[in-house]
Amino acid sequence: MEYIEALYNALINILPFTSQGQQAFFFMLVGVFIGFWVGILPGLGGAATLALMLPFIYKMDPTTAFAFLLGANAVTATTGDITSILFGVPGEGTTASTIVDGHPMAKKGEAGRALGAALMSSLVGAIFGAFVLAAAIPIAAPLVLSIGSPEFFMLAILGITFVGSLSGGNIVKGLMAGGLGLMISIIGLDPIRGVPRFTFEGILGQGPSIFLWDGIDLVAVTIGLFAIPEIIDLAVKGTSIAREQVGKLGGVMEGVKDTFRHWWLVLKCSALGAYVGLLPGVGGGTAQWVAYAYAVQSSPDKERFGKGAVEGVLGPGAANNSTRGGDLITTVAFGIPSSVSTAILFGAFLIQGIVPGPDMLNPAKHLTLTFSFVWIIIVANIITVAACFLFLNPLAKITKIRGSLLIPFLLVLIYLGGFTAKNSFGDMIMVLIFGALGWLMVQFDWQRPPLLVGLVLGTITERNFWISTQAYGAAWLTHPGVLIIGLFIVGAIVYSISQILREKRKSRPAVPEAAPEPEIVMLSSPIHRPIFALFFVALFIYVLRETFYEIQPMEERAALFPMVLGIPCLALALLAFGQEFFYILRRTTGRTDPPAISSSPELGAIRRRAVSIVAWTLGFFLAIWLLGFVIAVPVASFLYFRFAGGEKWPISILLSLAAGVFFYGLFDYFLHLPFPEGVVFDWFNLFD
Amino acid sequence: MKRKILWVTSVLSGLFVFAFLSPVGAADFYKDKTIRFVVGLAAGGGYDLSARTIGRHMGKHIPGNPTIVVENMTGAGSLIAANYTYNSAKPDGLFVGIWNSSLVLRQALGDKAMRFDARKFGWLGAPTKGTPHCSIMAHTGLKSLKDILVADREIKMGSTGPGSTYDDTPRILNQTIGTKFKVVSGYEGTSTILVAMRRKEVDGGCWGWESARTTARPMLNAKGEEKLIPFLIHSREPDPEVKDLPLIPEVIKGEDNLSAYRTWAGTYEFQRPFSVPPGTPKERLQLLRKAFADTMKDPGFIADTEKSKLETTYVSGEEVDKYVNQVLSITPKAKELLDFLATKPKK
Repeated sequence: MEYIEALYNALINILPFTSQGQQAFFFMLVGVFIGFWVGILPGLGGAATLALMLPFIYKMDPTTAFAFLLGANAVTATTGDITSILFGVPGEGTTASTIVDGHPMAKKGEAGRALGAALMSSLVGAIFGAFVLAAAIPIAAPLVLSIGSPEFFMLAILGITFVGSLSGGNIVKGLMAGGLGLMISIIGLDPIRGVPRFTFEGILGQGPSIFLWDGIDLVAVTIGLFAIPEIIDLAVKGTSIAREQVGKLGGVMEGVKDTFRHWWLVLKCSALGAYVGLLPGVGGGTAQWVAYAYAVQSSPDKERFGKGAVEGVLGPGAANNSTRGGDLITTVAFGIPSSVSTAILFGAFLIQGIVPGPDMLNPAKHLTLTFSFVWIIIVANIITVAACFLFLNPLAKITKIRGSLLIPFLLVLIYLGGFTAKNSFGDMIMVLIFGALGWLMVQFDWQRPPLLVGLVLGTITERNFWISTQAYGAAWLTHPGVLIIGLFIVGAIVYSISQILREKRKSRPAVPEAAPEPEIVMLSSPIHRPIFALFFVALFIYVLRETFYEIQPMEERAALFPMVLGIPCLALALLAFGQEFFYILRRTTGRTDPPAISSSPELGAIRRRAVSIVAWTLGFFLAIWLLGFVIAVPVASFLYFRFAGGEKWPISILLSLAAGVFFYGLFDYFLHLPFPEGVVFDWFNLFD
Repeated sequence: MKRKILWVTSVLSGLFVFAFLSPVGAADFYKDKTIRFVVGLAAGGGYDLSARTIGRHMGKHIPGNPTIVVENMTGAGSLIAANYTYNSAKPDGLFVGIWNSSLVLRQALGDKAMRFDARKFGWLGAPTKGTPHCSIMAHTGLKSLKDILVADREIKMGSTGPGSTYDDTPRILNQTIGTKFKVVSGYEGTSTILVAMRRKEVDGGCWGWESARTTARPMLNAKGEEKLIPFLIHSREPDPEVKDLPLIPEVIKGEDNLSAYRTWAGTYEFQRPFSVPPGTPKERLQLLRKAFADTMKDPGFIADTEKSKLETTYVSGEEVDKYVNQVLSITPKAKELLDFLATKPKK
């Protein structure tokens, strides 16, 4: 009864019927407005913005403060989907998964449908997650306390295996990509003794080496892996994002209907998202991919995925929202945030002088406040989705704008997104490096999602592995929870292998050896595929060698994880190499039909355009480095519009000026992002 | 026409001369300027919170009322921000770096990654001190330091990682008073360690009492197995849970051990210190120091910290100078004793 009463009071507290409610409601609207834009703009992370919002809450009462912050936080995953779908650039780190099928839908001219599906499933997911939050509050403590470090370690491995083997495509490549993600997470100071690992001090010198101490930033990797290949693709095609025109079918309402056509999938993915969110320290970054893998698995026709299957939008769309509810449970009950954004929400608890823990669940203390979180998530998302629907159709028209007009904006946004991750240049270089890797992975049919999941879960995996070993010795391997999760891991692998075998038996003409072929194969020589696989073999040999000869002597403990991980990774890489080798062998001996390579006379033009976009991508980087963001944005955009895009002078000048003013106004003047001055000015000492 | 041009040119050049040659005192200097507070740790944590609370109020205590913006430059436990403040930030009085004072000890121990000489920073002061303390869970059946010293079982202490109070304190105690703590490191932070204590993965931990008294409050108040019992503290604190506890400096045996401990604990006398790059003009440093001191007395600031239960003890810039010197004049013997705390440099 007390619970119902608190739930009711919590709702009244945020609705504009009382003076307290009016205040909370007003600030929630402000928060939603901010969150809306933060979600849409890739350069603006939810975390950075929440940090900027923090100082405003000192004077607010707790309900208003959380209406303001949570309102912003709750909608970023919803509007972030919009950018992912329209441009193939992740609006938020947690919406990268909607790119995989959402962006191909936009290319097919179905942007409206994809957006409708993403928004509707987001709303369902958010409401579902909020109710899970309400329902789980009484049982949260025993639930979280039942997961020890060993179980946690196994769950992380399960997550990576699940995404690696079940999200479509080749299972060996998928698992190896997951391993690669874990390996990338090793870069930096090890979490146990602080020994630098793979920071290349000998090669890079001390400055860049110290930058690597903190590890590779997820945002930069996500942007690089997903956005750069799409930008290259857009430039090479030389068209608008939407390549085909679809009539009514591409409309927003169609997407809304899709949500209800696949009702169970949306609900199940919401449940998955909420559960993943409930695990301490794990959030939307993982939930989205697990939901994606589930969507692929539950479909009878797996080949459609990656080419614009609406289920591939619905699943992650629901999960990355429902996970917010689950996330809050661990924050509220234990003060353990699961992402940078929730960490800042946790800071808001501190400012308000509220200690997360039993008091939050006590009807005599803060229970009403906790329940108001539930309503804030629900109300904020209803408002956002309603607002979005008003101008979704015009938004979808962006996909019909000429690519050459969009590319400079996209290039600026990806670099800005990289920079704001840690306010440093290094992450912009990371965007480039992982952009190259991502493009190659697309060319040779390697799945990118497992890599991200591996990277997201890497540190947590290593920490829990190490804690388990220290606290229990080897005995943790026999904990019942560990054994049960272990069975699931084996099950996932066996299941996906059996599926491949079954499909082979059905003797379909072309067994999907790998993920869908990219639309334009630029590296078409058969020799390239095994060489790329060989690159991973060499990489893992290098990692093992380094670990054994360099890290091991310095600190045995720091070497344990890369060692334990490196061996299966190397095995998988060798297997992948074997696969690619025989694939090529079969193809050249003519037993399989060679895939249709664009051998038209266009190929030369395509190559030229590819070289040109790569040059421009590097050029933008160089311009930003030399001139600083504020000057480089209008200058480089102008040069692109005029000389690469071939736009007329007035349009070029107008657009680049607009870009410059918008950029300066929002990011420099208003948000005070600490942009460094261009190095040119240092050389000439122009200022100072 | 010609006259007009002449007129415009002379006004413009006059303005130019005025802008460059007019003697800009420190007092006018800050008018319409923006001061950057660069915090070396992530947004939302204790460091960030204290920097932001001070940033909200300090502007009005500086003549010219500059705007203050707070940024986070995270990485390597705030080492990136410290190195940046020393080597890359402009010494113009518009840049303030806020980073972990334990890095000064790492400099004292000869860690090459510290690319600064802490004596050369301009110190504005520090908003708080730290008081390391150790607690143990009631489910272990142990209640006091005495119990722990005679216990014949391994006692697992949760830790985040090297260089933290969680890690250093039990190791130093093992070396100096013969405890047999096993440090289980790798946890993300205080909250995760508290959960690990509750599910009996670890038995206890050592960290700042300022943090424990609020974040671990429910566990300090709990009954039965879930109760957290403090058993050792660095210095006398008034809270009932710790006011009668043995003090670490009193239980450590041997002159050398004690001197090593005091050097280590020196960095706890100025927590979350505010620094400006070496070479910042003296008069601007003085202005900032005074503004920092005035902020600490500002009723608005005090109200904010009371609401957030943010512990504040004002440590002046001059005092920070003194403590930094004290830590850096480490004796060779203490250096040897504390050497096990330093991360081994790559050859």
